[in-house]
Amino acid sequence: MVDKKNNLKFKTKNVSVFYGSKQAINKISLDIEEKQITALIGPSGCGKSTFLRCLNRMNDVISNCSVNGKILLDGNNIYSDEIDPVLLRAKVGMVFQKPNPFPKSIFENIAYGPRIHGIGNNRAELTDLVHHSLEQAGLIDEVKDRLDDIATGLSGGQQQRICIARAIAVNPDVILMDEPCSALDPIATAKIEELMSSLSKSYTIIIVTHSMQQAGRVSQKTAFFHMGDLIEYGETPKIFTQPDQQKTQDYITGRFG
Amino acid sequence: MSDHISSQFNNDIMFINSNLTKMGGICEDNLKKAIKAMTKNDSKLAEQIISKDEELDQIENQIDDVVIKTIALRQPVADDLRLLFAAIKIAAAFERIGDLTKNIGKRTLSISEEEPLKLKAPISDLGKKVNLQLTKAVNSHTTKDSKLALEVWNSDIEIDKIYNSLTIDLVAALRKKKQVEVGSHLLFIAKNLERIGDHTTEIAEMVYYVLTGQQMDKSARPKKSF
Repeated sequence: MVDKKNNLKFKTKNVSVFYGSKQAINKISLDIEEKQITALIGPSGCGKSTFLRCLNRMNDVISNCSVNGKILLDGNNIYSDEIDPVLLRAKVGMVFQKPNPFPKSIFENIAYGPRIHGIGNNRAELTDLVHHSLEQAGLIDEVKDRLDDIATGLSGGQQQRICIARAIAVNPDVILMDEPCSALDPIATAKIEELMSSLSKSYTIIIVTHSMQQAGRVSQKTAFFHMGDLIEYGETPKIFTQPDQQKTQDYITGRFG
Repeated sequence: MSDHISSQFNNDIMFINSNLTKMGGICEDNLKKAIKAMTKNDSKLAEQIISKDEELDQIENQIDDVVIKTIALRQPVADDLRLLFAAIKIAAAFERIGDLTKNIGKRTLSISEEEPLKLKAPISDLGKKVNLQLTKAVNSHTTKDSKLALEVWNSDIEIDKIYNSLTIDLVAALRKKKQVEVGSHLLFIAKNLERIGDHTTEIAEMVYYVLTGQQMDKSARPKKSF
């Protein structure tokens, strides 16, 4: 159940991650609000992507990676034995840095996830779902007449929106985005950012970004990570106008990095 | 100016523009009332103006907050950056106009019981001219009309001239009729109107800057007041 009082989607407590003996993040406790955009910022190697990948157990696929602490999604521990990571990743979708559509048609890219999860029982339902997902991703007008074209032939920005539509198609609650715009030009970036803002009415979005400016533009909450520690977490306008911590101030003003 | 892809950015810019227009409207309305209150010895109307000034202060603070937040979060450039820079200055000018108008109201309360001098009529005329300039400056911002802004900037000299001759007449009348208290208040009211004219010119300068990217040559501005 969602904690209605605080409207929290994720509760994390003392999350530490080790790659072998090397500790990547150190006792992170960070609560994520539902249907908001939360940005994770910090210099390379600060642990922000590692933390993000804990939220849908993407770190499971790294053999020497171990995760300690508690991560509750709607109150349920996602690292408990009863949780099927495949179902978890449908509920907590992910969009990566480089657009990675399958080398298949636009239609098949979107329909693939629903098929393997048994959503959309016949062609008509599936077609509706594909259209709806593309519509939500702000892409339908650009591709509706060429759904059978191969998705990798689209522009970078369009490919990234295909990936977002693909994540949406399996009916997630949360969308994780790991540097979703770093391979895109400024206009395609602005379109993705505006899309995020409209998607946040229906989904909880957590974005890792190297661009502090992007965090400022898109998010309501910002978390600043440094060397595996969570230094500061708060309302984005406050973080960017009067942060509490000197380290945050130094980072966002470009005094260290 | 066309819309940004980010609707939130559009909303913030719209908030700033509409609140600047709102401040301008309050200033125009207050000034009109202040002139009327002075002319008709209407102390009730003068009280109204004094209470309305607080609203201007609040809107100025809101505009400043949104500008600071927008600069911090969006790194605006070009016409957006010029607008945000100008918005702080324009809001401050409106706030000063509000203070000066409030002061006219306060002085009206002090002199309302006194026998009116016939010099109130030319002060009222000056006030109406200043208010017309203010209306044009506000309109130049809302309609994005750089020519109108330039016109306001060039016309301030007329206000200065009227103010100067009014001052000479007031001092002469004071000397003759020995109405020192009411005369001093009227002198300050006239000076306040002249200062409102200057702030109006400053607003026109900022509007022109936002629209054209050019700063007006302040040293070239015709200026004649005492």
